[in-house]
Amino acid sequence: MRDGAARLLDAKILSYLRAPRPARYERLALQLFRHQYERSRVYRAYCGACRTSPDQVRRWRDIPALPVTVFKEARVRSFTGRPELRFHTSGTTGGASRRGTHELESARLYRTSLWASFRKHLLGGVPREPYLLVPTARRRPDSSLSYMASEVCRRMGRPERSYVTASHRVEVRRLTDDLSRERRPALIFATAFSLKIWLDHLKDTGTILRLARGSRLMETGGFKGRTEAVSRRRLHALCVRRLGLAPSDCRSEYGMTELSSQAYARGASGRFRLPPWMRAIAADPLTGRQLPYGRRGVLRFYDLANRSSVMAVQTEDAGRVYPDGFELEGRLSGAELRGCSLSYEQYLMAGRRGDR
Amino acid sequence: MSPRGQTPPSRRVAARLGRVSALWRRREYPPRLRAVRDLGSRARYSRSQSNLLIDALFANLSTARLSGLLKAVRKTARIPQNCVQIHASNSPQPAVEAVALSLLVGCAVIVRPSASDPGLLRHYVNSLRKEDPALGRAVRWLEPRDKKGLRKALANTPLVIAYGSDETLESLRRRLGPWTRLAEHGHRVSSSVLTAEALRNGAVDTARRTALDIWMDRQQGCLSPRVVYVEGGGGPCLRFAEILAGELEKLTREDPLTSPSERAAAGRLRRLYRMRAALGERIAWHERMGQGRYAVMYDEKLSREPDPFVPLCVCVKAFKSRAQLIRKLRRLSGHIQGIALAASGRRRTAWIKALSPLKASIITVPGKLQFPPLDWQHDNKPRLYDWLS
Repeated sequence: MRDGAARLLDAKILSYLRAPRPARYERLALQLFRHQYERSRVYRAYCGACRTSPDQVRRWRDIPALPVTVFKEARVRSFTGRPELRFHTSGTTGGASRRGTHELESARLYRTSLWASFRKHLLGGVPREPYLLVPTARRRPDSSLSYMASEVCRRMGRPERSYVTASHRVEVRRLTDDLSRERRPALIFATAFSLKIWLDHLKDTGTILRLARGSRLMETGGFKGRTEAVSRRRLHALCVRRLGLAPSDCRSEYGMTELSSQAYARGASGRFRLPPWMRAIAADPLTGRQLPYGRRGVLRFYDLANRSSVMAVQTEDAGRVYPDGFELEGRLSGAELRGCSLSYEQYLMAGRRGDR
Repeated sequence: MSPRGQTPPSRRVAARLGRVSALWRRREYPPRLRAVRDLGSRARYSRSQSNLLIDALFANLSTARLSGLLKAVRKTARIPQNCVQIHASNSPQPAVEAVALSLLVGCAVIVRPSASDPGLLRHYVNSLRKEDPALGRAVRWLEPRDKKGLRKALANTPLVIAYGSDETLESLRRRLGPWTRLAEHGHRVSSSVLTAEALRNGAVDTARRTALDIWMDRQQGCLSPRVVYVEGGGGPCLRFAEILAGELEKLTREDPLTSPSERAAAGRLRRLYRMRAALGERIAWHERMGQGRYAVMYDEKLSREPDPFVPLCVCVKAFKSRAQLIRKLRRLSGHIQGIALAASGRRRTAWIKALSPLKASIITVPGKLQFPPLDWQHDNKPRLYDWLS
């Protein structure tokens, strides 16, 4: 059961999501920060470690951003009751034993946020037939991406057609057959990893599809250490060649289990655009200070829709922020020069294999 | 020795390599001075760190020790005419040793260093060419970017000796023909295991030795302990973490400043430790990372994975019993290069027996981890045996 303050805050955030007024962002962000500081023991402890409290913060960009790794360490929640949604991170970069959890008290904010951005960047008023290269929410209830895919299909009023089996196998032949028969514009919703598997299959069989005009691709998620990684540019180029998509119809999504909103980029070189209720800064990894536009730093997001945990999250991604969005530039690293010691990721993966 | 190799293993080659090593042991030897300079600028080694590394390396490559190793080579061994050595990452010691050992058995070498090689290997090869031209001619140098040269070399060699990550080795394996043998050395990790009696009876000495193991290769080598496991927890372990920080303080005094990204990564860890302390966990954090030196992090949650690896940010973890620790380490079996064990008498024997299923290449005492003998079994493979069998 939500307390009165949370209900009131949700109403304000929902109203912002429906009719964003940038002038009100700061006030709402500071109000949300105070709310989360008071209710989350973990966040309060982190703010203490940063020697900051709500009384000292005057601007949204000064709100302490909780590192995403903390979601793997502790329960980050700003409510006490039962969560309506609970998602787990994939654990591919942190090891299975370090999977992060994100609990949402109410699904309403999450659903409103994801649909508004998705509709704007992927649909644009044109009806499309969704083809999912991710498992459905029924199959993977703990995956935020699967939840998003299912929710999008529900909102579009279309069936959930997933081509990923329970054992994470991509049904490449069935997908190719179904899409070659499709006459309406298709919407391919895929992780970069499963998309590459499918594109490899098309290459191996010498297949070139010509999807109906207006078809779109949404790829997300990267490769996370699995098989051979390819760049976004290469992946989109392959889609243009093998699927007959226009380069501007290939869209990339940037989302995280620990956030409730997503950013989208148009084409392979486009910047990621944020919804009006989410802002980003690049911070100096050494001092934590905000960097000017265009300077490379660690990315921090301030997401009003993230009411159930913390609104300010510091990622492990490096990038540059501009007035109209941000660019991703890989992961932050602690070491500049490597020796013959296992890297941290290799260490965790080795431990994971040993657990089996 | 002919540049084409295939000279039978000979004590004379050992003597010639030993002579070059003797030159390298002299502090004022010009190639050594250049190597020390490059190790400092490219790999952030302090002068004393580089000197210690070079002294230990060339003491191992002395005539006597090389001749000793030759005894292990059977007369019937099939010595390849040449080999290609691919060195990945910043690991100067194994690279120099690999070149010397190949020459020792009469095998010409094509060396492809890593793009991040800090220079010691190049200076060694140049010194070989200068001091012993015949030996030097048996070494061909391929620049890291010379893809064409590497492709050609791989197509014409019976043996490839490669160091690197699983991905590097896998991609290399795919490139080799069925007639080419690959002697591979992957990435590994090491740990220190310090028992309660070692902490009780000689905490300062154990800390000094452990600090040396950690500092020598800035925790970047496979013989650098990433995690220091201490038995018992509580006061003595907290005290040990503090002493270890003190010892690292002494060792790192002259070190070049750690890089901004390393300091930033340490800063992220610092905030998380402060947060954990505020949440009531028993932890300790000692550091001079702000000045770009080291950090010692102590916690008592063995089940929790260590923090992300940052050079000279040492994770000290307490464990309650031997069985608990072995259970924890068993998951890494096959990936452990070395264990520095501080235990005495009968307990040491019991510990070694308990640790043996982990298949560590070397179990030694603290302070010796970074100085393995020449005949140690790198990746559990006897030296030279893997190349010649």
